[in-house]
Amino acid sequence: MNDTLGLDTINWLLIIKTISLVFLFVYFFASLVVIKQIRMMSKTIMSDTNKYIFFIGYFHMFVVLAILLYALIVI
Amino acid sequence: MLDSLIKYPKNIRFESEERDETIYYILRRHPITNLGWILLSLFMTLLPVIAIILITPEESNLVKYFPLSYQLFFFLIWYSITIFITFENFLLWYFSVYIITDKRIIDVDFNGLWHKRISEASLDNIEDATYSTNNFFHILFDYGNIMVQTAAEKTEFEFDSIPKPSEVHDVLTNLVQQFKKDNP
Repeated sequence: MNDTLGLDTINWLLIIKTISLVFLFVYFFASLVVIKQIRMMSKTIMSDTNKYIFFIGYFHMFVVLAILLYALIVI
Repeated sequence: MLDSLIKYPKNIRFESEERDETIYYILRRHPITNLGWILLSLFMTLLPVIAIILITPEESNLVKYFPLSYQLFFFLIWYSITIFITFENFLLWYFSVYIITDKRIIDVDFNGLWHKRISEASLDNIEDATYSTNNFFHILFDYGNIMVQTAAEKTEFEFDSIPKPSEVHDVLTNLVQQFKKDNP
């Protein structure tokens, strides 16, 4: 690989981009699973703290979604 | 709210709680047992910073090989994975609890994304409870295990790494004695 944006470089970047996008889709799905998991857990143990845990869960999901959109649009 | 030993919790309920049931204790593993994943999270948080400090000019050429948008992308992925690992470990610690009520003991066990196991035993079925502190850390941080022998199909409960095991053991054995006296 050289440091100019030649054909090899572009191919490598394309491979990395494709792998990263697949990874991000799986990761986004995992973040949705975490929300489901919190819902299941918070039915088992009900307390005031659960709402903060939901907030972190949704925050995490939106961060992953933002990265996914960034990857789709920018890179 | 994030305590590992909660006496007479006011705003906490559990799934199969009965109307006239009183919760005496909600117990979680001692916070020191979380040290492993906390250190891992700290390491993952600091690793990019350490890498930037330690990276040599020759190696920095390899980083510069990637466009800036890719570098930012990898950086964001790395920190979101760090958040994921930290949060998942916290959830498993927070929701895996042992509950002692005036009627029964309950072991709520979450393991991984899907695994959930709830075991319970009536105080009437408890035959014997013993506690143990097995190593240096147990004594230093005052935590240990309580083994509960029951007459039911599941013969043994283990309250693993709970804080103040002697105090909890005392309360549990007193409750069992009282329950058996009140319900002969």
